[in-house]
Amino acid sequence: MITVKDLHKEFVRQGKPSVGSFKDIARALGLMKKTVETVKAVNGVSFHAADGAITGLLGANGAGKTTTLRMIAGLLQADSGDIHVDGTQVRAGTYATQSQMGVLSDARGLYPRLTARENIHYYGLLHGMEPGLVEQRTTQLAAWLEMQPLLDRRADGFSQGERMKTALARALVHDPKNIILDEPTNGLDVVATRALREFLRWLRSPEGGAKCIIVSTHIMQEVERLCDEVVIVANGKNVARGSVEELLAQAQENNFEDAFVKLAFLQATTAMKGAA
Amino acid sequence: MRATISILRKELKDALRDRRTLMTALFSSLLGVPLMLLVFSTVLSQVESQEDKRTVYAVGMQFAPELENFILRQGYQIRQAPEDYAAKSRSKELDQPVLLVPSDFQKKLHRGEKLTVELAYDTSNRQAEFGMRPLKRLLEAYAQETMMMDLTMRGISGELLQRIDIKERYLQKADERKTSLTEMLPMMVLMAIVVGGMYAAIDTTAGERERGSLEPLMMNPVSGWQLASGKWGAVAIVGMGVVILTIFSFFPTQWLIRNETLKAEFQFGWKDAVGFLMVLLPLAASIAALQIAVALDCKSYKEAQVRNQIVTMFIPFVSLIPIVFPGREPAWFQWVPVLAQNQMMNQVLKGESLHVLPVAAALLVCVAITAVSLAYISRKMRQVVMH
Repeated sequence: MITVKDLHKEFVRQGKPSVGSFKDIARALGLMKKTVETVKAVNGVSFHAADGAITGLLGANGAGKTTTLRMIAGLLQADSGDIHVDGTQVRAGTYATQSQMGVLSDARGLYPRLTARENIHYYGLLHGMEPGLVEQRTTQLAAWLEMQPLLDRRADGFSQGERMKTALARALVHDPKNIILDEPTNGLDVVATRALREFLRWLRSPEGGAKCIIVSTHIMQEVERLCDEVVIVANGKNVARGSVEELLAQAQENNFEDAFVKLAFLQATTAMKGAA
Repeated sequence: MRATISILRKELKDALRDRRTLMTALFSSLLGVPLMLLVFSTVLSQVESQEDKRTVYAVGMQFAPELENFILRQGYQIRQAPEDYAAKSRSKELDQPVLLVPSDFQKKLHRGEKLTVELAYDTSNRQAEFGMRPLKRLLEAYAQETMMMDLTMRGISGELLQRIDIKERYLQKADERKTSLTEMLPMMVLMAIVVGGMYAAIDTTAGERERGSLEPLMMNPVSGWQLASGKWGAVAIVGMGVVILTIFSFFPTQWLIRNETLKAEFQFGWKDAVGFLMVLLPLAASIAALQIAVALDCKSYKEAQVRNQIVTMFIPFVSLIPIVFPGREPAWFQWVPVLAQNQMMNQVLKGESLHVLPVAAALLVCVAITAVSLAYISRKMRQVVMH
């Protein structure tokens, strides 16, 4: 169970580089203060992800999905707001909540010189599991994800799908109660996407452990077919949430894509106009 | 502790499978010193072979029969230099200088006038340059002989010209060995240590970040201290491996040295190897920690490489500090890392035994560097991904 309350995060970006004058060169060398601008990546996101449910974070590129997920994972310090995982507050840079969390990050981040098995084992051992248990769990995950032939190959030459499977197995090796997946279907073909969807549904079911799963994506069909609860994020805030049917009703549309565009962009613009 | 060992084992496995890390470690440790000594021994042999070639290439020797007679008497052979000796010297076909005798040699000699002979060689021709010294010595001996004869003819003893004889006496310890060419050796060893472990240090921090595997790693319940000590352990093992390989590369190198002079100078035994290990292993471990700290907050492999190379550049400079302080070594030398090791290695090479105090001081400095670096790494490790 993950609860996010009114999350805010600002990033400091450096002004555009130029070498037009002496001052610019001094800035580049760090002798003078650089011109900075702040970007509000996340500007008030709140939602609740229940156990035994798949919650989808839906938004356009740059809406703030990944930043939100990184803060939930404890990798990023939020400027303000609260995150609770199973009742424990997440603090960035500490690992109190991490043993109950499995995160598949956008970059996957496998070790190319290690085999898939070694990649999975490493994380299992870091989670403090016994080597025998790690081995048993690896075999089990490999069977579920149909990746046995990959296990003893080095991750160097893996395809997108193979990388995703290995990274997912690695993230789930310690059987976490909460699972966070950042764009899991990126670069996957139809067959692999369907297989992943099946696997996630199984993890949600009581037999699979009734996990709390958060998936971020920008693909409408994914959300439509997979998610129990959808949180639409635009410009760093959540503009709407509910089940797919509820959102369709809210937007008064039959097509989910139309509903998304209406909810994410048109409402946001009208809201801004109203504010102005 | 278990997590630390898991991290160490994984990093070591990763490093040993990385061609770049492995190649640098092996090349810097196994090739540097043998190659340097091989080059030195070849150069030395060339110099010596020129000394005992005992041939003189000359132009116009027919103008100086007395000189010819002298040279032959010294057991040298005289060869007519080829017409195009200048071109041949330039193309290194002719590996000796050429003696040019002027046509009025005999006439001037008899009249007692000042004479000039020329020695021609191309400055880019090293072999010919090495041949200059023996040839000059030969001609000076001739000049001496003619002078003595002239003086004797005039009834003056030649002894008068050399009333005071100068003799050199070396104030050397009994067991001290002569080292001149091997003075560069400590610096080569220090460079090998710094370069050898560098890529392992970069790969485990900036490399991991560039590949995107550092952020998922932070998702594991391990502390900054566990990460720092595990990663440092792996890099330190690579660094210390480089030290051991470097030192043991000295032994086969000794057999490779063909030159007798250098062989006599460079005597490296088991006792010396132990001394080197005692001095260098702590240094390698502390340099590993320092290199990780330097590379830690770099966003890319390349950035970390540049930063580490700047650190590496200081090593030769530090080894040069003694030049600024000729004579007695100031006491603070033994507290400066790298410099202390440099001095101690020189001691070992000279055949002196190491003292406990400087070794302990150097060890203390290395421990301090390691502790400070590790403290910094463990504090910063989990924060670098938070940007």
